[in-house]
Amino acid sequence: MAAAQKAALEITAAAARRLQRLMQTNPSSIGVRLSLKQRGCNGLSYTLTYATERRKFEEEVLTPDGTVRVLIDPRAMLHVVGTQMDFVDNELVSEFVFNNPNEKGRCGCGESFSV
Amino acid sequence: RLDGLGWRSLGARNQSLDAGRRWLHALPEANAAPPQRLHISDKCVQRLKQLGDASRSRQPPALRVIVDSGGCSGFQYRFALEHDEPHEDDKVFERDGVRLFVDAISLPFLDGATVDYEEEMIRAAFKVESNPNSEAGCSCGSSFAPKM
Repeated sequence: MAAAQKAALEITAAAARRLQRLMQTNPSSIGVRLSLKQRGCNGLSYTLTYATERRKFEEEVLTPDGTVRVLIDPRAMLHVVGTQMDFVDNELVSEFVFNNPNEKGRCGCGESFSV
Repeated sequence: RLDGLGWRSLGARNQSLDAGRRWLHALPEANAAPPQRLHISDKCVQRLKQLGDASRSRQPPALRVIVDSGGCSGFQYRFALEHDEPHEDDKVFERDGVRLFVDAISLPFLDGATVDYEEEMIRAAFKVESNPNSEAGCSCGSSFAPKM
């Protein structure tokens, strides 16, 4: 196996399972797109949408089993590089959680952050 | 002497006093503010039933909604699932077989609001929506500033 370049985003097994289920419910998309929106009290907030095409300059990261493609918006790339994408699932909340080493602050609810 | 006060017997006197007491006790209820309400959305009902189906007891858990201090807007909502009966000072809201518990302190902050289970791609969670007591909220909706 060739020396793999370190992925821009680390996708945990739990996040990969959730992504697979999302893809099954929306088979027309080729993957999901991770981008950032300016909102929340700490400036930036993650957004996920279904992607139907890979856009110019978009970084592609595959889940560990290679089944789902996560496209990273080039404008978000600088902020999310090195982030771990996890999925937390309990009876009250089911959500993707981003553990970002570049993060300097975050909102109490975890919805927004600053770098 | 009893008959000097207009009662025919001691029993009649006590009956009359009891009726008076009942009337006094009924007064605050008759004059009280309209009942406090909390709406439960379809998706909230569905989610609680789904949690019940997945549990061993097959009983949907009750959802406790708490208003607590904290968050960037001063107050925040918290949720908990309960399998026991409500506490004495809880108000219980019911719809289609699922129950919401709200304690007496949180209740005025939630009157007229809707409890929903919001499902988005990135996050699915219980949420308090369109709360008429909230003046401003955090973008994530977990905290709010009450109208004073």
